[in-house]
Amino acid sequence: MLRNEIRWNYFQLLVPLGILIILICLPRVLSIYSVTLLTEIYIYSIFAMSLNLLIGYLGYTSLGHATFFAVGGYSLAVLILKGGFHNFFFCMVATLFVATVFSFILGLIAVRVSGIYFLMITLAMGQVFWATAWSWRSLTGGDDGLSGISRPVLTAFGYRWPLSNEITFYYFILLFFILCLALLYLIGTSPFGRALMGIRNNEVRMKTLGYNTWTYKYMCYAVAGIFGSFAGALKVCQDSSVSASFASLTQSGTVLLMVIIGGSKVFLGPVVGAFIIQFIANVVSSYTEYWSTIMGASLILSVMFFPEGIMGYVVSKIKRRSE
Amino acid sequence: MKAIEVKNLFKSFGGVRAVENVSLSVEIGEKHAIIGPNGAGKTTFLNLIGGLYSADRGEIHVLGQNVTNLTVYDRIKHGVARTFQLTSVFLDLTILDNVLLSVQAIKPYRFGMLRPQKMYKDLLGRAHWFLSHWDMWEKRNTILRELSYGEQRKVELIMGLASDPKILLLDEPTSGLTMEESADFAELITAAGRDITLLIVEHDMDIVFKVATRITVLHHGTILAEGAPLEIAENARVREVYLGRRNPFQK
Repeated sequence: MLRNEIRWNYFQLLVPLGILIILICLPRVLSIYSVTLLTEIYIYSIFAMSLNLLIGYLGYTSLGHATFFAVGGYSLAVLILKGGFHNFFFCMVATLFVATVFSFILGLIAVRVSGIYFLMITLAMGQVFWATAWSWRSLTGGDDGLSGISRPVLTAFGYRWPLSNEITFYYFILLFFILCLALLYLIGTSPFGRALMGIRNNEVRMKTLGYNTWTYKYMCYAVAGIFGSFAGALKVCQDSSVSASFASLTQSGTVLLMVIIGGSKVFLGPVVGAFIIQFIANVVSSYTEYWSTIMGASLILSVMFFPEGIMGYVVSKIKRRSE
Repeated sequence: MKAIEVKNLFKSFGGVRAVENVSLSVEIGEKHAIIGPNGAGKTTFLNLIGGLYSADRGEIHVLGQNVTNLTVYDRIKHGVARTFQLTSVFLDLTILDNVLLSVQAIKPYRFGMLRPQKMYKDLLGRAHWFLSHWDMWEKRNTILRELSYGEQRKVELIMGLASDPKILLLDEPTSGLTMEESADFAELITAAGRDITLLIVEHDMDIVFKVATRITVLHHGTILAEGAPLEIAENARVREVYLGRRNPFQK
């Protein structure tokens, strides 16, 4: 009986495998523009999933997650352009290190409070970062931002893959997307992730069960920050530049929107949300200049009809049918 | 060594002295009930021992260790677990998840991030043992919100026991249950807690006299009487302020 609980369901593995094969084949049939768009969606998916650690698992809504997007983006850009480091992968690792330090420091401030106060304190910290990025010209380039970060060339087994090629870059990002997906999935199902869900449900009970809930919240905030920064660094690779908009309130709001529209209680919800938002922002915007109106309307409609997000709705439908 | 030893405990909220100079010691394995009228400070007293409130003055020792200044979660590591007057469970999680969270709480890998919780066989094995022992394994994937109040109470008691406590604090475990459920519950408590020290706050005298081996009566935050169940039932002061004239043994 116990074994059934643990055993992998091989049939369930087939579906993600099929999707993965489709994702690998997509660049063969899509236009370069669509490939670029998909690449961007993967990056935003990582970003949205990192925020969902806070929203979906812990139940803490942050309105300043762009802070980490900017920390990752600016760290990479500054290391490459101002630090004079030419090894891209060293810069990436160093960026993650900087992100870790920032996440743990900012966590000390943010995790002191909960609910609406958490929302406000993350918003405030986000604005501080945005203002710093905007005004510290010598480091961040101010409103011009930093540009000219070239994508590296991968070399292995005697082959060279320049990432400046959009299709190669697509696979590069897809690889990291799947890696982050797997890691975040593991975190969500791990003892740590389960404890976060317990805190969301009933924090006092968690304490009386013997959990030091503060440490869990702190670590959750930090892990979300590290993944968010990683997404920011990848975005800088794609854009070859970074600007203050990385840290803007709009950025924080957009990623929050992705989580809400996709559904925070379902693991893949933020991915679906990222797809929808990026689709509206890129594809719909090429047909009408009122695309942001459509974005707003779609948020209102999704909150009205799918309060648990689109994936939340789909999953509950499937559950009801199977019963 | 005593299971619980409380010395001159004080706690007040604003001007209200909820617990005033209470000293109490509970032997290991004892089933100790705390009774008293509403507002006597019973739940406050339990919260002070569990660590949810910190004491204004006084000392609390658990199994020989001074835990007065420990946080609520550190006290659990000394073997204290509890249940609440109003059921306190994880309503959006399944029965299995509730019990797993309780078993996992004191494991060294409780911060583990890179391996699914359900792959820890000892964790699952223990949850399986408890749930099948209490006839709930078949229902393990039901969300708690969908259970009856009585069943939620049962899950809470399992959660209290699942972390392998040496001392279990029960705050009105049968409140809100029907007479039948209460009687069942009393049996479950006695059966489950054979080796465990119980500190139980309860209003239902039938349950108290069935479960407890020793009783403390609180009144206005102070101890009115303490003794074996029979002594308490005969005590004139206790009957006056709380039990009434009817002797619970003369039904």
